[in-house]
Amino acid sequence: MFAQQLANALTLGSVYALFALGFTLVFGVLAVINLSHGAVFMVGSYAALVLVTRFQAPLWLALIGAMLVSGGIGLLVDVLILKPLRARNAPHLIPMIATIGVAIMLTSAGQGLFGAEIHRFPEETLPAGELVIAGIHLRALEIGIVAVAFALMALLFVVLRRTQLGRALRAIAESPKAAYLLGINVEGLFHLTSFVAAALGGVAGVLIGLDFNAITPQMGQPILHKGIAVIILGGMGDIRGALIGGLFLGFAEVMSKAYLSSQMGDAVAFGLLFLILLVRPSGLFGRVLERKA
Amino acid sequence: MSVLLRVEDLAVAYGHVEAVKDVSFELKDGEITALVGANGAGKSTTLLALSGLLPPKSGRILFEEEDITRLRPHEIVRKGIVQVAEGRAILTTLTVRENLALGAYTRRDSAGVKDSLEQVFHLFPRLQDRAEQFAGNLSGGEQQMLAIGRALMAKPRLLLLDEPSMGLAPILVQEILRTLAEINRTGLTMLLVEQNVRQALKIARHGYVIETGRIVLADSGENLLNHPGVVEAYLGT
Repeated sequence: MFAQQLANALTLGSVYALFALGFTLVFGVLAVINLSHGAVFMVGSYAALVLVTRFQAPLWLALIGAMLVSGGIGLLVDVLILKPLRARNAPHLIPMIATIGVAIMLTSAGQGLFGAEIHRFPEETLPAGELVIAGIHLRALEIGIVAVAFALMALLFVVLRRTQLGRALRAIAESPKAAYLLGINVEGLFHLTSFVAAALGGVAGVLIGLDFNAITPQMGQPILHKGIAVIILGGMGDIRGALIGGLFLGFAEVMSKAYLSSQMGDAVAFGLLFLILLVRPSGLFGRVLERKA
Repeated sequence: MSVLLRVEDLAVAYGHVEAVKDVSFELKDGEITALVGANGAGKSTTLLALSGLLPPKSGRILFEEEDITRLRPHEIVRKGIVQVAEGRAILTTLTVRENLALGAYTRRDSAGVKDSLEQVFHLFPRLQDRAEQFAGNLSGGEQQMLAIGRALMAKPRLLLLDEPSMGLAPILVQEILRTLAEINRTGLTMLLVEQNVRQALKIARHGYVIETGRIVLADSGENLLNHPGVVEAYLGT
């Protein structure tokens, strides 16, 4: 029973981590708290659903399609909204408020197009079968979700740590001015970051939609709150922090639902987060960073 | 000597405050030119405009006779104009080696980049010893060496240096400026912005004195060192 819960927690936690990774990447590179990330997550879910039901696309193709659609929305948000605000040196709160507007528009659009009811992937499109290891039943779906989430996160880690592109992104995160003087096309990398972060958020949306097999226009809201909690817990802008924080929240949520109270799962999980922040106010990996000009 | 960079009637403003007014000067190919003046005279503003970080209000910047006034910062670096910013602007959360690798961001010739790295390590052996350390753990002098070394990694045609002596002990200032003179002997053109007027004019062939946003004197470095106005205002005694 416990091992079973462990598997559930790993599945949920890996998706939270993937979601939070995009969220923290945008914060780290653009210094913006992008509150449309939850709505983009929802868009990813619907994009995959439409591709599977209307166009009979296989799941892997739907996943790629969802990445492109949600990534495209992230790119549009940066080009149409965040870029003009950057050009005007808008104070930090302004882009955050603007992205709340984006979230409301996307959520309304989702409701208008698909209605408020729950949509599901048709049963026959989900990977069937399960693996039994030492009495633990692992659904093929769960294994797939964890594999996709970790593969994407590993790819992002390698790019950030080992490539010139990753070094350039870390340079921008520390000092945009220094990045400009190195010949880095900072605006271009802002666009790229917005695309990649939203694409990761969209994939997370598809994975959650598959895990619970429930898609609604409102599904972005609770995960947005969790994403905020995760990146604060992990340390704002810290990639490792998003991974550890996401897994932690997944475990806390699943375990408290299983062993304490099914109603109080979120309350217990967030209570634990709060306690950790009392001890470490800047998060697990957080440094108090004052960004240079 | 041909002119590498020509600045014509450059004016730069922060909002309504004009920090640089109708500044004109030229940099000759292969020479060190110093731009000296007091704090707030407009030296750093001029450099920021040259690198495209502050849009000029009016005037023109010509690099090898090409108008680069409206180019974006990364396009200017691609032209070969590289700035070592004030306060060093090294990336403290990256290692020394990563900082140097980013210096070559605009280059695609990996063999040439490897050669440049060897040259930088030859010039500043201490950077090689500390290559895998975070740049934030370096001493002030080492950080300045890293900032200069990183700029050299771009294989620049023109090096802009904003106060390389700032915050360094006098012996280190001498060492850094001596190294700059040595690099210049390989043919690299430099614009040296300094508050440390004496040291800057000593290694510069030409000098410009800037006061409240205007060029007030232009002469050879040697003549400026002996100019009564310069001696009185900047050199003391």
